[in-house]
Amino acid sequence: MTHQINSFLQLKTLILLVIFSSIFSTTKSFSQVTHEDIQTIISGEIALPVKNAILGSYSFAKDAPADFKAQLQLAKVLASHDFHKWAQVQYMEAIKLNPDNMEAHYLSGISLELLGESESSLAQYQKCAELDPDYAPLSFRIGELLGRAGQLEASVEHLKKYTQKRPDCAAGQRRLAQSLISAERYTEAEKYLSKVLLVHPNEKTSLNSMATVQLRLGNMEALTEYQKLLVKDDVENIAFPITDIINFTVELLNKSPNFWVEKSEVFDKANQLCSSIVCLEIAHEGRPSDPVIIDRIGRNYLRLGKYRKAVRYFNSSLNIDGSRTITLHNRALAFIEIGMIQSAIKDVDLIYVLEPDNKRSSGLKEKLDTVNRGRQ
Amino acid sequence: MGCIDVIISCDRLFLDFIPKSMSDFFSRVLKIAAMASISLTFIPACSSDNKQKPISNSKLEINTPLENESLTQNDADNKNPPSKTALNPWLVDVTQQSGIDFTYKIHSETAGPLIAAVGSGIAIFDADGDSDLDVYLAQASDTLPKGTPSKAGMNRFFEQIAPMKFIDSTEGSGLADEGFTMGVASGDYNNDGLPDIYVCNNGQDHLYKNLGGGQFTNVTTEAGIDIQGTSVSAGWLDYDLDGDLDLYVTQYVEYDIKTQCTDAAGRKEFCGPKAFPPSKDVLLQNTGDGKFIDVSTESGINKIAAASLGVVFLDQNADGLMDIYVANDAYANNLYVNQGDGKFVDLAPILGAALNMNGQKEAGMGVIAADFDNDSLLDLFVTHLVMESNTIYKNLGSNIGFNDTTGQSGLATSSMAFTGFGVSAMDLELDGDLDLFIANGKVTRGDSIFKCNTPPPFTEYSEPNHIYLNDGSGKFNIDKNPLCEFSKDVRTSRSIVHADLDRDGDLDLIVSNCQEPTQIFRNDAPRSGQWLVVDLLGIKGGPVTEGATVMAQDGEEILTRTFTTCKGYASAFPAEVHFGAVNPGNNIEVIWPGGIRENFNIEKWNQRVQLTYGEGETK
Repeated sequence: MTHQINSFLQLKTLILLVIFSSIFSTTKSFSQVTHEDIQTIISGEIALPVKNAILGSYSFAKDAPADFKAQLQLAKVLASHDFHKWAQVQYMEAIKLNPDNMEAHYLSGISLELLGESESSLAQYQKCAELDPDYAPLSFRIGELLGRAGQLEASVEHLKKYTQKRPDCAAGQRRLAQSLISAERYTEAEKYLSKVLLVHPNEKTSLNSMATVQLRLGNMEALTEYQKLLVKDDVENIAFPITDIINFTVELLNKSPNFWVEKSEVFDKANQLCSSIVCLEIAHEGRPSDPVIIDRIGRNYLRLGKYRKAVRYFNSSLNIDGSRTITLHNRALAFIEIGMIQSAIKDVDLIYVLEPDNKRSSGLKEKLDTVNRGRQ
Repeated sequence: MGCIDVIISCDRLFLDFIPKSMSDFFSRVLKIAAMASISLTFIPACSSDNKQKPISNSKLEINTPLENESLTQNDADNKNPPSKTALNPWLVDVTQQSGIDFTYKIHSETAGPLIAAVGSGIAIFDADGDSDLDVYLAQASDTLPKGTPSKAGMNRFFEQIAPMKFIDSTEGSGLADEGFTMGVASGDYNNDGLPDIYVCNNGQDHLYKNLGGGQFTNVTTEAGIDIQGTSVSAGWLDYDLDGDLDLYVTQYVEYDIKTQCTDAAGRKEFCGPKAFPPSKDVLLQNTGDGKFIDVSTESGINKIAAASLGVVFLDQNADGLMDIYVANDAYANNLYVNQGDGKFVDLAPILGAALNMNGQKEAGMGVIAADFDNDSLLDLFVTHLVMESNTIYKNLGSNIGFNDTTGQSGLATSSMAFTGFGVSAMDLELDGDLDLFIANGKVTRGDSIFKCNTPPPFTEYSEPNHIYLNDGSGKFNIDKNPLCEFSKDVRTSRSIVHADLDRDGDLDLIVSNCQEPTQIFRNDAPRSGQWLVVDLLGIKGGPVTEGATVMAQDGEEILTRTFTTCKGYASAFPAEVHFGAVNPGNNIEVIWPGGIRENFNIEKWNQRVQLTYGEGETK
């Protein structure tokens, strides 16, 4: 019996040794991207510019192991060339250095989605949401992932949050409606689809979804009407699928700042301000001394109602070029919103020192003069 | 060790994302300990995998009877399943002993040609009328370098001579198609009682008429068939209810070998479908005199060009007419609802079967129409690319449509990291529900590389296959360990077809792989219930059997299966219906194409029965 117990203990010890050796070997190999890993990654038929980009970023990351930006940059470069598993390792390194950086969590979440690791991806997005609960795209991503995991009610709640934050985003309303159809909440789905079709009366997917809703509600006359609309030639599509978001995020790292400025303008027109900011931030990385890009970021924060953040960007822009009257004008608006009227007046006064004939700010000057007179 | 390797490598993926802190260290210890204990538990099962059970002489002597005769040997198996315990592998790789020695070969060292990634179909059918099942395997060919012996580049026909024993009978069979074959379909187009073969090629497709005795002849030209595109799947159906089989052929893209694609790192990569214009599918109407006419335009099928891969037939609205569901790669799926006047209307978007629940088009590959939750309605299951889950569309009822219930069914998160192609839905352990078997294999290499022995260009494209066990309510759990012979192998798999190859009452599997041998798995799962195989027989002037619905009882449940050869990916399944049931009933109901219902009473289960049209009790 004792012998049997000893044998059992020996076996158990052996098993534990195997387990611990696995742990340590795993830790050593996968805690961060090593020189050997980089050699593995760039081996084979990888294009020369890609090799150079990876080697260059790795060199910065290796020389500055405590530099968050250097670690994050390597992760981004790896992700941009579809090395998401390795990018993930680097994102973790970056997050260790700066656990509250939303961008690192967000990009990590995207890489995880591309790896098919939806549960881990969801965890990253949820961390992002803790860091910036107002960032609407997160609600969208979380809603989609929860829906895919079969948690329909939770998915609906997150998508509703998204539509509350972005009431003008038709793609969001449509996405919410689709989740509601899956949850067999047809009447609610109809409400959101109606909103989409008000803005985009010929949008194909919404027309199809509306037809589905009418079919399931038993409204056969309405169904026929939607079917008639669907056979028209001018149906449009406003789809904004995850693949677009991800392709966009991955693609972004390869493109020139101009590309991202243009991309931001597309988002601006669609009133998708957070997405626009993401584009502008990338453009800013490529052209850190461009006051126009920084001003545009500030302007979008202003439009989002994040006035203090907007002021910080306007300050940065004016530090580079203090003669930008547009930025002074925007900063004045932000100052007004946070009650710093005197600062706003100073900015507007400076506009007229720099450009005595400025017409854009005349209305603002009049208002501020009125306020100032009232105060006096 | 194979099983442990796979588990640790999966776990490493997970651990990559865990920060190195002490608290995480301990959680990692727990996770790995848990993983290791699971692995160790199943080492005996995995280790015993190499010890193949010899096929007993008595089994070799079984001559499968039809018509209510029971198989004494199988009854004995059911009463006393000697080796079928939970710790034994449920699916045993018997490829080596089977005599099927076949590898789908692409003669290229690097990724690139799209058609090379599409892979290869399988047909399992009784070619020679001897009641056992024979196998026809698709082969690539037109990328062969000059001087390569032609045998390597032709489709191969394996005749079963004893249970699970095959010989290569290609030579002289007339089935040695030398095109670049992707899919295969089998069906009796001329109603002579012998299944014929349609071969989907990149280039000219071919129709082979079965002459009997394992002999075929190419009748493509005399049948008036001239399909030159990139055909992937084909299926037989009687869409016009005229008593003969018509043919639907999926067409992928307007392929151009000169088009080169690279991945984000600049490496050569298999092109996706969007690199080419999509093609339009083809519907051929059988005129009844051995000829076909192309009715794609009049039927409305070719209004849409959509890179089609998989196709299944079902009567979605219970009007007795076969409808067509097509899985498209990167385009919305189509559900062509048969209007009864020779025309079809795509109602997939309105019926909720075109896009996934996020409103996204997915990369549809293989497709199955089957009743996963025993509600007598055929659900749809489509396999997809990495980052998309495989998707199940639950049938909510005739004229109501489908809802994507993948997440609720437990099928979403486990499939997101894999690329599914072939799919089979069968009752593995005879417990009255359909389990799912997915053949996985990447088309873009990514950087999650599994250890494997796959030769280039697929070395970095291999991944394990998956088994999902149905809990009886349409909810699935992925199964990794007990059946590890099937799921531990890391290959670039494409098609999967089930069939009772050894006629022992349970369903075995054949899996095709790129650059590695096609595998044959014998089902050794412990049996929870009894089995029944139903063969349908039509009569002259009556409805065809293809597309009939067969229903059996299992206690309170009604089991609904479709008599169809066309399902999965690019493949043909045997023309027979298999049931497993824990509390089987004796009544079998058949709904023949056209909607006529007949009831048949059978004496007992654990047998093969043949039900003939007109001999049942009409409802």
